[in-house]
This record gives sequence, structure tokens and C-alpha cells, in this order.
Amino acid sequence: MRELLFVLFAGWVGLVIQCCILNSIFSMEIKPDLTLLVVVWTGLNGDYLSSLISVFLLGLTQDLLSGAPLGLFPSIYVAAIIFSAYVRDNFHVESLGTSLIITLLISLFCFCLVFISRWFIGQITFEPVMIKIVLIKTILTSLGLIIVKPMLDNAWKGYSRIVGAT
Amino acid sequence: MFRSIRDITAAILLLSLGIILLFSSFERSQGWTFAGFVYSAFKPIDQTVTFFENKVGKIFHSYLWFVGVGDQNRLLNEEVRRLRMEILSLKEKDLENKRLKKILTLKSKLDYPTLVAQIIGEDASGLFRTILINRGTDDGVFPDMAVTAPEGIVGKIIRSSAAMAQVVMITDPKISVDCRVERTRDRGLLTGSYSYLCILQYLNKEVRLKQGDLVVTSGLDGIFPRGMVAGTIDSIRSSEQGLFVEATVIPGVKISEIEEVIVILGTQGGFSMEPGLEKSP
Repeated sequence: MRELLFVLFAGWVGLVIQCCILNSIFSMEIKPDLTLLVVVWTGLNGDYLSSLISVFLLGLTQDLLSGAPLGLFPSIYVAAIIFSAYVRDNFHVESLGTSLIITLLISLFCFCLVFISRWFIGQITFEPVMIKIVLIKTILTSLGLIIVKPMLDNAWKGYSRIVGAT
Repeated sequence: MFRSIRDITAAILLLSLGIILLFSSFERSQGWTFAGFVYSAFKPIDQTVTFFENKVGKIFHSYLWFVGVGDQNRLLNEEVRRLRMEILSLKEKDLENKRLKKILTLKSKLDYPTLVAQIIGEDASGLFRTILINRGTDDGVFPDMAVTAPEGIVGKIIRSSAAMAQVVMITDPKISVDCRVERTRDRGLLTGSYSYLCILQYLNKEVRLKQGDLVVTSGLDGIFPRGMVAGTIDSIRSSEQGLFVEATVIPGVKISEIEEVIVILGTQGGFSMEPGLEKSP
């Protein structure tokens, strides 16, 4: 429960930054996805069940704050948690480099799936610019982990000391 | 106690001299030789002293009293900073005033009930073209209402809660708006594109469009009232199927440059083609 609250709070902070602040400080059209970074961090560090619940709730909020059909981001985030939990159980994921690669793969999967789902329900047709958007957003999001991961680690340490979570 | 004769004599002499000088000065106020002599004797000394006094004074003022100047400088800098902030604030208010004037002009031109809303956020994922506005169902804002700005149409409401609503912009591929080219009256369907442009599709092959032609809403989609600016034609090409031509349209409104939008309340659930007969929300 404590972990769930932490992830929800961190994710919602990320969402607010993406919705309201990032646009004014980031002049580029394509921006990193901070919420996805919280999801990846949770998948690599958190308890499996609470991670699943928290990212599902985060995904629902993300759906409501973006034009996505309801249920798209919860599904993607749950899949991301399953993938990262699998990777964590089978590989050494402590180093930043490994985390970066995992983030890159999950971001690529997530962003591609958004476009594929939109194409599948007939909202869009393929445009070459979509490849550019996916690639740049994936790279930016992965690089964002370099900044966000230490912040989340430190915040988690502080939070653990206060609430006694492990 | 009595002093010596010499002391008394000297005192009397000097006193007398003083009295003599005093009385004689009334008679010869100008050009008196003694005064001239004294002045001549004192002038170089006086000038030298004054010169040094000025120099030393300048040194004191310029260098040695820097502490005071420093304080004054700090105060002045603070004032400059405050005034700059004030100027920025006034400029911001001026821009806001101009924007609101434009909005009011458009609002007064529209024949439908409208509501001004402020943009409070953009799409959270960055993969959709949506914005959030600070008006919701409490203010009468419901899905499928048209959203516009003085520069052109913005999009339509897709979700609304009590206090805020989500608008899908005309640059999102999800949206389709029935439009006409103002000059030629040709009809087409305007859809969004991920390159922040719009595509006017299903245009007749014989259409004669020019770059810069204005694209306006036709009012036939039941969401956007007739005659609202959507954008301008940028380029024309054949469609993939070859049956029609399609044109790239530069949207009239640049979302990064607007802060307020107008929600047309009268268009909820469609409106009549004849202005004035639309359904009320």
C-alpha cells in the first residue's frame, strides 16, 4: 500500500509536469514521457502486485488527460510492468546502462502500440512522420531516465525512512 | 592680576588699530590698498588650499565614500529590477488585453451562445493532439461542442467533467470537419495530421485551388457553424486512390500562441443549418 501510494504520487507529479509545465520549458514538439519513466522504475524496483495496481491507475489518469481511448495506457503500462518484472527476474538490471536499454525497449513498444491501436480503430492512416515521432520520443524518454532515476531513488529512500517501507 | 606695561601697551595698540581699520573700512570699501595687499598675499595660499581641498574632496567623493555608493547602487538595482518586473507585467497585461479584445470581437460576431475558456494543459502523453480547458459541465460545456479562437477553429470537446473539458484539436487525425474553399466554394473533409498540418480530402479533381486560398467550415457536419476560418491552402496533390485531390492546409490557429478559446455552446448534439435556430444546451 505504501509503495502504491508512492508510485501514484510520483506518476501524478509526472503527469502534471507533462500537462502543464513541460510545454512551457521544453520548446520541442516531441517531449519525453515522464510517466512512462515512473512505470519503468516501478517495474524494475517495486513489488509486483502493487506495481501492477499503481501503473493501472496511472494509465487510467493518463488516458483521461490525453486523447487516448479509455483503457489504452493501463494496458500498455501493465504490459510494461510484466516485461520489466521478467527482465528483473532473469537478468542483472542494477546498472544504469541496463535500465536505459530496458527503458528504450519499453518506450518503443509503448509508443508504437499507441499508433498501432489508433490505426487499428481507424482513427489514423500511416504517415512517415510517425516513425520520426516514435524514435525521437523513445530516445528522449530513455535519456530522461538518467535524470529521473536518481531522483526517484532518492525520493524512495526518503519516503522509506519516513513511512518505514522496505 | 595686573600684567606688565608692555602687555597693556600692545593690547591698546592692537585694539586701536582694529578700531581704526574698522572705521576706515566704512569709508573705503573698494580699492583699499591694505585690503588689496592682504588679499594679494592670501590669494595664492587660498587658491592652493582650495585646489587641494577640491582634489581631496573629489577623491573622497569618488573613492573613499564607496560604501554609500554601493548601498545606493544596490537600492537602484533593486528598483530597476522591480520596474522591469512591472514593465513585464504591464506588457503581459497589454497582450492579454489585446487577446481578450479579439475574443470579445469574435464573441460578439457569433450568433450562438458562447463561453470563453482558458487553456490549462496539453496532452499528457504527447501522442495525441488534445488540450484541456478550465470549463466543464458546470458551465454548460459538453462533448461535441465546437471550440474556436479569433484566428480560426480549434477543435471540439471530446470529454468534459464538472470543472474542465478536453478538446481534440483539428490537427489530430481523429477529427473530421466539413469545409469549403471560400473562393471556389469546393467542399472537402478536413482532417488532422501528425505533422501539425491538416489535409482537405475528397476534393473534386477539376478543382482549381491556389496557395493561400481560405478554407472555411461549411456548417454541414453539425458541429462547427458555417463560415468559420479553418486555415489556408498550402499545397495540392492527387489522393492515393487517384479519384480525388487533396490539399495540405495550414491551420489558422497555432495552439502554442493562444491562451483562451471560445466554446460555442449552441452546437451541442448538432445545430440547425440556419443560424438562430440551433438547439440550446
